[in-house]
Amino acid sequence: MGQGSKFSKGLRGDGLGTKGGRANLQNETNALIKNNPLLGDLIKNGVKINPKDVIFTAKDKSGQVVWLEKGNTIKGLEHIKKHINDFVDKHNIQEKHLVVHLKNVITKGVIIHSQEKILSNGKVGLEKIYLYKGKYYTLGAVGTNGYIVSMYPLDGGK
Amino acid sequence: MKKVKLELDFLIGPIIKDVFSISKNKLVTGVDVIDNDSEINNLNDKASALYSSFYEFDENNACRFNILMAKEHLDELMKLITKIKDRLNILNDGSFELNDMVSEQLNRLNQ
Repeated sequence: MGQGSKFSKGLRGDGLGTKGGRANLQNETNALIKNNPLLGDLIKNGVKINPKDVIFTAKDKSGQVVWLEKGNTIKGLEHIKKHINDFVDKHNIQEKHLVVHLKNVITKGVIIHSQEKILSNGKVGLEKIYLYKGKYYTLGAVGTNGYIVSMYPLDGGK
Repeated sequence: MKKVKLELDFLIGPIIKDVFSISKNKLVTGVDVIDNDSEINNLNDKASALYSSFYEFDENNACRFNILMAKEHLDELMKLITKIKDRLNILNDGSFELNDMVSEQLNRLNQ
C-alpha cells in the first residue's frame, strides 16, 4: 500500500515518504543541532553533513571546526580504528578511549603544523599536526570542509 | 631497526612518515637514508597526491572515495608504488625493514 495520507493517517505515518516521516526526521535533526551549535554552524555553511553519523564536532585552536563521522574502512572513525595498534604502541591509547583522545587532541592540542596539500586534481586537503600534553603528536588529515578522514599517531620531538 | 610502513591513506603515505622532526619542522620516517633521498620523497609526494585526489568533499556527500576514479588511475598509482619499492630496496642499508600494507590495498582496488 502507498504511503499517502489515506493509508498513513497523514502526519501519524512515519515512513520517509510521508509528511510525518519527513517531519520526524527534521525534528531529530533539529534536536541534534540544538544540542550541538558547531553542527549547526557546519550545516549553515552548506557542508553536506549527516548529523546522525556524527561522532563529535570540535573546534581546534585555529578556529577551524572539524567533525568525525562513523565512516567506513577508508574514512572516519572506522578507518582510524585500523591504526589502533599504533595508537596503543605510541600513545598508550586503548580503543575504548580513542574517540575522547582524538577530540582532546583537536580541542586542547597546540597546532604545530598546518599545511594545505595540493592533490593531483588541483584540489586541496589539509594536513595538521597537534601537540597534546607536551608529548603526543597526532597527524590529522582533513578535507577542506572539515571532515576528518584520518588521524595517525606520531613519534614526536625528534 | 625501524619498521617503515607502506600504506595508502588520505594525505598520509604511502611511505608512512610517523616522526615529527623539530629541527626540520616536518614529518619524516626517522630513517636518514629515506629522509635524505629526494627521489624517493618526490615519488612519495606524487603517489600521495594521486591517491588523495580520489577523495571528494561536499559533492554528493561530505566525503566520498571515488572508486571509479581510483580504478581509472590504478595503473598510474601502481607504477608509482613499484618505483617507490624499487628505490627503497636500493636505499636499504640495513637500517629499516618494510611493512608492506599497500600491496593488499592495490589488490582490493583492482577487484
